[in-house]
Amino acid sequence: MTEIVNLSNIYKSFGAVQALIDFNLSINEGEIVGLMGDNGAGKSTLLKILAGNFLPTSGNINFNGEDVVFNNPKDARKAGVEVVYQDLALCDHLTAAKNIYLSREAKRFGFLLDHKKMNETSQKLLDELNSSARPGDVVTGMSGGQRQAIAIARTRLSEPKIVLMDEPTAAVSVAQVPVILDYIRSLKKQNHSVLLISHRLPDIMEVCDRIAVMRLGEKVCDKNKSDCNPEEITGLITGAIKSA
Amino acid sequence: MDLMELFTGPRKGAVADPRVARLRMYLNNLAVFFLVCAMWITLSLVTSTFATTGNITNVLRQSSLWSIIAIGQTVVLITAGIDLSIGSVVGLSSCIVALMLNKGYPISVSCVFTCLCGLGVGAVHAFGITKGKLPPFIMTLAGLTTWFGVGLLITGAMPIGNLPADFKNFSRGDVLGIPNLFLCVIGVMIPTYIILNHTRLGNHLYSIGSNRPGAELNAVPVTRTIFFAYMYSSLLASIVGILVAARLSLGIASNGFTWELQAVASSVIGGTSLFGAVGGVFGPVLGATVLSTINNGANLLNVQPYWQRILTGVIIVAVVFFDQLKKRGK
Repeated sequence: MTEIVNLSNIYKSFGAVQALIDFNLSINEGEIVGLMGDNGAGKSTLLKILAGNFLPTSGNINFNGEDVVFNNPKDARKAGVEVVYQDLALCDHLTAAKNIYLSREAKRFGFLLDHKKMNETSQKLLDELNSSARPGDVVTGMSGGQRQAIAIARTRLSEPKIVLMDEPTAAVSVAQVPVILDYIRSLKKQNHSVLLISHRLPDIMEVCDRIAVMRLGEKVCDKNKSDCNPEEITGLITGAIKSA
Repeated sequence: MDLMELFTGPRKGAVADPRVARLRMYLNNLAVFFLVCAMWITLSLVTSTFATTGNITNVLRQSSLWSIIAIGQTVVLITAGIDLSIGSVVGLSSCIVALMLNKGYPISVSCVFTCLCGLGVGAVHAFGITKGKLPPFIMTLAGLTTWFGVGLLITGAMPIGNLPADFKNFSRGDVLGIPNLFLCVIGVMIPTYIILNHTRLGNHLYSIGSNRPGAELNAVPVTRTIFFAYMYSSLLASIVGILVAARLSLGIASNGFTWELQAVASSVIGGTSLFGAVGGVFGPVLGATVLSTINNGANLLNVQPYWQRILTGVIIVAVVFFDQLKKRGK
């Protein structure tokens, strides 16, 4: 199996705070890796390093066989990293379509926005996610599920190598959770990798192939799902079990 | 489970439909338009001097100048910034163009150089805001006093007159009956409208005003976009500086004194939000017409001109107060 991401010896510190300590992780093509950990374990920091928001203090990122440095989100996106942020990073005043296409707007005549194409494609992507959000509507006033759908639809604009998802099921209604999990499975079917950060152990157990647990900036567990049991994972997250 | 119902949450607010938001903008502009009409009709009735060709042209000339800087201010306000240096940049630009014309440079060279200076001024502001991480308010407030000082320095605080006749005539001339100054407004409105509504740059300006960290996460070139906003605002202020110099036949650093507030007031009267991401091209022009009508009406009614400044302050506070109410109401 082809390795898409290989993080080796990643350190990240913010002043005196060590957010990531000698972190290693590899993700294969079409693999869904669940990343768990308590608040402050360093999950979001790791995601932001992979998404190009932070540079690691030291360490190496190998992406699709090449050593890379993601200086900004654009670099990461170019390489094939799509992200669904925890706060979704939506602009409330813009329409759903303009949010989906933000910073890669469709153009005609070289410089004018192609509103029609953006609206049509967005409608298609939102339909695929069974969302009632309409492309021409501004995001203000949309429900949590509609917002989540827009943030997810963004990842469908390109053919990503890997999709990073930070708590995609935290802010949606119970009924919407299975749709998001289905979506994650569909990514796998199309051979995209997924790094899924979640607090919800049932979600992780349901879709992930492999589970990694972080505690205080270090990886304390990295096992195939079949080798894991929920009690052990919970113990690792809280620190009751030191490592596995 | 009904798949079609997934992701359909209850609507929290009522303004999700952009047609509603757009309609509100139209209604606001329409209200301001009727306000202008009402003021014009009233002034025509109570004074014998308002409804004369000479006076109406005067009002339109003044509103043209304010319209242009208000459009520049609007572009900055859309990014949730503010440009408080506009008045001083108008004054400085009038000095630069007057000095150059005085030294015998051709009109075209003088105007282009002045505009380049304006772009440079805007770049300095944007540099402080993006690289120096200074709040726009502080950076452009510093600009307000700095550029005024530079204007005084290069002219020795003296008015620069003796400008060529061709230059002076431009501000009084017209094409097919349309005053040149108003043509300049159209010349600014069209490209600004296209930029704001039909280009990626416009979408990026609104996205930064709406959610700057989010725009950054989505790979929006935030720094470049903010540079554009402040350089555009200063460029338009420079153009107005040139036009003012032509209109008054004078370059002096105090030209455009406190016009940054006229620009803010015009823009917010025209429906621009001081909190960013809301604003268009027509609103500021209507707002500038309201202010210039008040200015003119006060003169004709023999009201002391100081009242106009007081009124501008009151209008800014009132409009922003209601803007905030709208925001809280969500």
